[in-house]
Amino acid sequence: MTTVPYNPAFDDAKSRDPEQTIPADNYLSAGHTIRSWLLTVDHKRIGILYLISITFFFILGGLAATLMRLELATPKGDLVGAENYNKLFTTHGVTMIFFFLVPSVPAVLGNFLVPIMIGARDLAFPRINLLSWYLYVFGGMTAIIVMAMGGVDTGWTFYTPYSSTFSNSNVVLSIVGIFVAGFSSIFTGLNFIVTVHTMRCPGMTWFRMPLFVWANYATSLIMILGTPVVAIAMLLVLAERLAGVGIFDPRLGGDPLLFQHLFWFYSHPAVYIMILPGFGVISEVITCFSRKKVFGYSFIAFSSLAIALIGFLVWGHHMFVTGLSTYGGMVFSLLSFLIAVPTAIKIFNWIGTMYKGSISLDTPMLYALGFIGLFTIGGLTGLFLSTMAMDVHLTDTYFVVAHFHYVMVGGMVTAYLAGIHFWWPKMTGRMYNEYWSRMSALLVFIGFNATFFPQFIVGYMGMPRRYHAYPEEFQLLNVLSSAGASILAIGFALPLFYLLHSLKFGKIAGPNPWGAAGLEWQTTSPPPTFNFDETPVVTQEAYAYEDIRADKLGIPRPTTPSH
Amino acid sequence: MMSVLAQFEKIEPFRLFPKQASGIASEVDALYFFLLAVSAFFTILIFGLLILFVVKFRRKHDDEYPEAVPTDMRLELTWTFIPLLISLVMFFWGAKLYVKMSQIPPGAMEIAVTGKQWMWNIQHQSGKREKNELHVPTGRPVKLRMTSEDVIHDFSIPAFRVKHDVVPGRYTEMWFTPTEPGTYYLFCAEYCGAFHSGMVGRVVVQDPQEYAAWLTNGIVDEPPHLAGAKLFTQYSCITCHGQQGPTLQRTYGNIRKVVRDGKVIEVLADDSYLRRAILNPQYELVEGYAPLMPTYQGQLSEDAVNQLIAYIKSLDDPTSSRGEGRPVDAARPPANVLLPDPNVVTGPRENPMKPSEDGVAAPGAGYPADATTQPVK
Amino acid sequence: MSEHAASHPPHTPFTQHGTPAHATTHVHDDHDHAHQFDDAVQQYDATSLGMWAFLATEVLFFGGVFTAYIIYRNEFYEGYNIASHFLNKWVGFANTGVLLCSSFTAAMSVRASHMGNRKGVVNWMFLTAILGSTFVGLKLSLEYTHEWHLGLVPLNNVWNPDLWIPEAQTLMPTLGDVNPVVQNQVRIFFLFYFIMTMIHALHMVIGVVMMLWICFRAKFLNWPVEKTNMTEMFGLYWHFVDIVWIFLF
Ligand code: HEA
Ligand code: HEA
Ligand code: HEC
Ligand code: CUA
Ligand SMILES: [Cu+2]
Repeated sequence: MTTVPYNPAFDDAKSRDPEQTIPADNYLSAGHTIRSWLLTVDHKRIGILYLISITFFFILGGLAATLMRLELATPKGDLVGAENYNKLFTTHGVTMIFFFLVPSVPAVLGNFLVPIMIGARDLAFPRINLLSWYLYVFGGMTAIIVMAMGGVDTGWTFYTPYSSTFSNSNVVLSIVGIFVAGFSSIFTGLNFIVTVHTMRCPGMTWFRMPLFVWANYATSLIMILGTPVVAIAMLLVLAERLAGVGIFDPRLGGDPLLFQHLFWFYSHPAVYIMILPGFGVISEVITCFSRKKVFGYSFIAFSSLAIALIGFLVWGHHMFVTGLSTYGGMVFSLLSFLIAVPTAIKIFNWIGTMYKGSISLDTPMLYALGFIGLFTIGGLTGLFLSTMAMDVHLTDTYFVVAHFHYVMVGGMVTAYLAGIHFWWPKMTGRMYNEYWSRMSALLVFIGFNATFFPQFIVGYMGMPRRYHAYPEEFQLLNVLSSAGASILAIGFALPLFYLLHSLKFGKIAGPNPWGAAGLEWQTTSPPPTFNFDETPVVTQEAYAYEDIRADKLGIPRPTTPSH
Repeated sequence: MMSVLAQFEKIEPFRLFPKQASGIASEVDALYFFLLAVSAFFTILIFGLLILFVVKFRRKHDDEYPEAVPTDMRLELTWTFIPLLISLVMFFWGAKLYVKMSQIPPGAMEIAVTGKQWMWNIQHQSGKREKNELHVPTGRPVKLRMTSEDVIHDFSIPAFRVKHDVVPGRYTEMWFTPTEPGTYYLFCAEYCGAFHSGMVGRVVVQDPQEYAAWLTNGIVDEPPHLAGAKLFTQYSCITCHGQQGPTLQRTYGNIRKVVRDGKVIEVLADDSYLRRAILNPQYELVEGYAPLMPTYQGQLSEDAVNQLIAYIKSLDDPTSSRGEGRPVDAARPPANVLLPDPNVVTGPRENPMKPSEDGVAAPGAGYPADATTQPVK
Repeated sequence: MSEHAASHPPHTPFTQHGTPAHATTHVHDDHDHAHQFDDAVQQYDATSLGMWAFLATEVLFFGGVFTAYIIYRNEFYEGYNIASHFLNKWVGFANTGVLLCSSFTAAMSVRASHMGNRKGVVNWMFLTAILGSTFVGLKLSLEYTHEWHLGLVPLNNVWNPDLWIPEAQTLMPTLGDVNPVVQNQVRIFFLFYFIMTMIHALHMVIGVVMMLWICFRAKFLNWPVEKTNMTEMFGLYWHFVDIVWIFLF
């Protein structure tokens, strides 16, 4: 009766069977009308809806970045001009963060996988899940309307009093968009928390959950605790703009720095919303392509929670030069260092996982290796910024820009791509072109470093961020960066083609093309509407690669330590 | 000079490291190199291990199933505590230097900076004003007292490794000791609207003699403390102070007992204190006085507030006519002020702080042609 | 919560409630729970946890404004002191009374649902809805209009001491020449006041609408409301909204 994480019935050998077909009864075939998509409550379909919509916003944000890099290729600032440039980086930051990166892994992969990985039929509140997507779309539409109406020029940080009193662009509408999108992520987080707590299948104890689920759980905590605060901060800016009473305007007695405190109280934890799910993906991918159980499971799981919690206490490290009290600053700095430790633990445990593994360099693994390298650089440069005296020189320069692109693009976007490539066969039932996908991973890695490494140097030279024109001697590094960005753009564009191509022409993947151990590989690809034909019962810990090994070598499975 | 620089730029069009032109710069750079070394070590370690493992443990054939390696507690502890220790070193080093950077040395020369979309207005103690340019002498600490008339700006001088936000409605301070004569970039580093990137200028570091000459050269305004004395009469401060209001001698730099929210507390009367006392007198009342003083919020320009404060500070100056010759005190100004003989200097007094029509820099036009991170020898 | 779930023996997070067969089939014959759940008990757990998590969000939401408000109250002590004299204490008291009663009726409704008494649930809930509407009505008709006339609503940005209620004038005879800084502090106070009370009122309205909908379904569509934990979840929500009001007040 029991189904176990590794089941020979779903052997990878079967996946290579040339005769196999896509199972007739799957979540994709459950309905083909637009209506069946727009009114679906199936978490997998909602995941696909997110996939399509965030890809759209990624391209939008990428186009803005393209224009910015073109402008920055020459020091004169003569392509789009100052005001348009300001709108471009604001649009770029807002779409990339709120409409792409925050929902990327949780809303696409998390939605698709969390219920399957814990053996549930769906999320706890499928209709709220759909509502989340509609809120997201509504917020996104608002952002697009803002662009059509001429854009907004405050930077993604919306600092007051510029945003509340001085800017005469569409601040109000942008805020509405972000506010609504915020509720979308609150509801997603809520759904995940409840699902993980109450809907695990028999035998799926907390410490048998895949680390991807842990990561999404920690992320959800941040989502429900942090997002309301930024909502309030935004609401106050809104009220200030509409009523003009001067909450943030010092001429009327307000405090312009209060906004920064409220904003970063959310937005620092939000950067961990933008990385923890990525950590989760990496844990899955590294284990699968090393054929090894993850090294230090509980260390990785608890470090996610630690990061989520300490993350709420470090927001002041964005404000070292605002006139924060020295002691306050020290606390923020110290805590920022403490948060680096659980991150270090993760990195080393992944490397430990590869030790004595059997490593194969399939596309997801290439992306995952790229992730570890790039995120390490991004994280280490984060340490420069949390070193108080160093931040004085570096804050608001391109060093910061380079830091956050290393963690967000080199880190999270790469992890997201690793995840998409890893679970694409599960989501669609088909494989993509191997050559081009590896090419894409390579181009992203090279293009990324060419784009953003020079920015560390130009940042230490003192080039401020949000400048559309700059002194001539910074040009060479900027040209390098723009050139790199074009390679990067090709790297990002490639998947668009071969993934779409695979939908029709891809090889049929079978249930478990990678020989992976997770529960999601124990059902058909694509999975049926209710995920499993039978509710699975779990008797093993996660990453049961030892069992696979035992079965393959025809030796008895190792006894799992009892709980 | 310009042509020399232009040529120089052609010879070495870009540098990979900014010049060090202030006392603190080398200390910041030392910290930077430490951070860089740690980062390089971990980056090489991690990239190295990744490559090593990929090569060594590469899957040779499809039926390879490696044995599990159990989690090793000692390893876990190692890679928990080593990063923890290293990061504590980073923390202490950075915090110590930060404290140094934020403690203004006594006797620092004071310069008033006002940011405004999109320019920098600067006034020296002698009364000399300049715009988008800051002249400072080598060899002595300079303290900038900064505020903004509109949004948040940020005064950044990369060659000095310093920057600080310039926040409307309050004073912020930063200091540095220029060491290398030359011309350096001055940037606005906090996004402040359309021409943020045009809010740039240059910092000219001169020998003390050169600087002294520059101070008296050309148009020099009335020194702020003298202008303040006039304002003090003009705004009839004088009618109360000394009678219903406290005398303002022995105020600046001293501990004041004030009533805030009904509680008596002690505060240091620094620039920000004086500013609050003038613009928001109800916020804290000097103990023993009635809340009689009207607020001057909205009636005084930033410039006027600066002058009044300069005047109040000068009241303590033993050399000033009203001073009482009190013992020297760490935070008091006389030593800080490079005061040229006020009689020598006269010039037409227009108010350059008034919003200037010519103020809006053309996009990208703000870069001084000969500003560079190279010192001008 | 986590201990609760983790403390189950590994194999059977919920088999105590369901039949073992449940674990291996997704054929649902009983219709007391939604398709994604195995049984009603699981659904019950999920909805209560969901409501608690939602309330946690709400606490931070209100907590954000409260923090901002308190920071400003410390800074603008004077203006806030003046401003609080303009609030109509009596309407406030009356409304607090109304809300306390509604908390009671909500609790009664929950009790009725525990006893499986559908009629009780509906009646008590309906009463709660009426009390809730009374609150919002009073708020709009008496308080907000009053403040609008005084020119205190932020959008209607006038400062007209002539209109001030006599009470305030006797309390602070010199108010008329309060300096502009303090005048503005008063405005900021009112901005906070309106943001907070309006968000609160919005919560009340949402609550009332939901209650009416539940009553309607239970009464006319024969929905077995007493068998779900809807009422209980709703009670939680309602108590929370009431507590927020106590803080605001
Ligand atoms: C995914 C998003 C993400 C992530 C994960 C991080 C991670 C970190 N960030 Fe970053 N950060 C941003 C996104 C992110 N950041 C963004 C968007 C901004 C700019 C916002 C704006 O102004 O627009 C920013 C800005 C920012 C600042 C403010 C800069 C400024 O404006 O002045 C600071 C300052 O402390 C900082 C620090 C850190 C630190 C210490 C970490 C740490 O969590 C990193 C920890 C990781 C490691 C340390 C590497 C792995 C460890 C080892 C290899 C072992 C060796 C370790 C030791 C020796 C300790 N970040
Ligand atoms: C998820 C977050 C995210 C991502 C993915 C990116 C991606 C990129 N970002 Fe940025 N960025 C931010 C978040 C992000 N960014 C934020 C928050 C800011 C701060 C904003 C602020 O200051 O307010 C910022 C600011 C920022 C700046 C600094 C602006 C300034 O301060 O003046 C620059 C400059 O180079 C830049 C560049 C880029 C580039 C070249 C990419 C590239 O990686 C993008 C490459 C992607 C594409 C090009 C799209 C995919 C391509 C196709 C589908 C093919 C079709 C298109 C073409 C062929 C062109 N970004
Ligand atoms: C109507 C009378 C009155 C006028 C006019 C007046 N003040 Fe005052 N001032 C007072 C009183 C009374 C106090 C003490 C109570 C307090 O702190 O508000 C005071 C306090 C001060 C303090 C704090 C002094 C300390 O000892 O710490 C400063 C500084 C000050 N005033 C500056 C000024 C300036 C500058 C002006 C004119 C622009 C001015 N005052 C005009 C009555 C006045
Ligand atoms: Cu001033 Cu940017
Ligand atoms: Cu941060």
